[in-house]
Amino acid sequence: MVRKKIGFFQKFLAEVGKRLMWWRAEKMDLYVLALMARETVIKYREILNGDLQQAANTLKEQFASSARTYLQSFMSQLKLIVSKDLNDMQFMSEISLYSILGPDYRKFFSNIRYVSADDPSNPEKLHKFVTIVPKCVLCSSIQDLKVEEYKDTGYGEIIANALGSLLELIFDYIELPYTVEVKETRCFMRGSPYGEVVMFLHEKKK
Amino acid sequence: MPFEYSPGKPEDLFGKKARVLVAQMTYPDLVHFLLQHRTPEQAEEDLRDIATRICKKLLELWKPKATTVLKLIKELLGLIWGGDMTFKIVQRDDHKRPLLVKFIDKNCKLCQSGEEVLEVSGIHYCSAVSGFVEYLLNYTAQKGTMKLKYKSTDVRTTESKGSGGTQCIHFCTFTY
Repeated sequence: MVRKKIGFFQKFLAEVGKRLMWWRAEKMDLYVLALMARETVIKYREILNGDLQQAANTLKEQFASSARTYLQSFMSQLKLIVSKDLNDMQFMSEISLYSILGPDYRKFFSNIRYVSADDPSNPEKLHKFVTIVPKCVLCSSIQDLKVEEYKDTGYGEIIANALGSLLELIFDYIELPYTVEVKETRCFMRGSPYGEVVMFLHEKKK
Repeated sequence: MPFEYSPGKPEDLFGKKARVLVAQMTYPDLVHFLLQHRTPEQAEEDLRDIATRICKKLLELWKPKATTVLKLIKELLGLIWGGDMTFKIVQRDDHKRPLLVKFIDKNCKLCQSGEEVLEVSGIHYCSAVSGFVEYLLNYTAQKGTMKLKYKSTDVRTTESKGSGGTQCIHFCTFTY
């Protein structure tokens, strides 16, 4: 049964577990991974008659689906530390990011902030999670290309959508009735001083 | 810790780590997409091409230290996704220099995600590896850093676990 809130002991277990999992994990260079995304989009564009938007969208969908498969592979460990409390989602997301990027994830994603639907500062009146991207894994590797071409492709959404997909999988598991809509509200490519991803929670229609 | 806000540079990523599983999970979609839009032969060339371009960009930052072929491949694999290869010299020239070398990878990271081995027929699933190795060997030959003084190489994947083989085999032909 899924607990209502993550307790001190589960947090302690997760903190130890994430380090152990990262230490044992097979790792690769992050730059190679970013280059894989870059070159895959370039290849898709060649195949899709030069349509960069469609190329980026294709990888976006593929990566979101892979993210779900990825999380499913260690859901058995994650289920020890999930809860139905949306306030705990920040902690769970951080554990997930740590499992992918190790301690360096903090250089690329700030703490994920939960904003409740009834928060007066929340104009959308939907539960949402906000994360700032101080440095972008994807943008870092395309600065030598014609970046203006990437401006409206939502290139950063390749990762953002994957995060949304992970969140949705956790919701399915803990039986919270939400779907996740991901929006990249700020982006280096569009001239913002930092990247920002907002994940809006929509109640599932019965 | 204060954040430094910037789109970032390759140097910000190089040397940092991510789980291999992320690449392993995404690679099957790439192969399937290519097979949907291309013939198996074209798809295989596309995989090699993607790997070649990645290796080219990577070498703008990465300075390989090894000066022997096997150590160089080991260094490359260590950087990209781990693993190791053994080799067998199949043919030598009149000067006893290796002409044809068979590289065997029993634990190919691209062909397997955990215990699951994916079977994709009509293509050598991990052809990307030959693209990486070929570009690297030709690059270092041009730089003149290798002990073996070959002019160029041609590397081809002939067997892939991901395509139903028992191991992954890449043949390397040296030209002097």
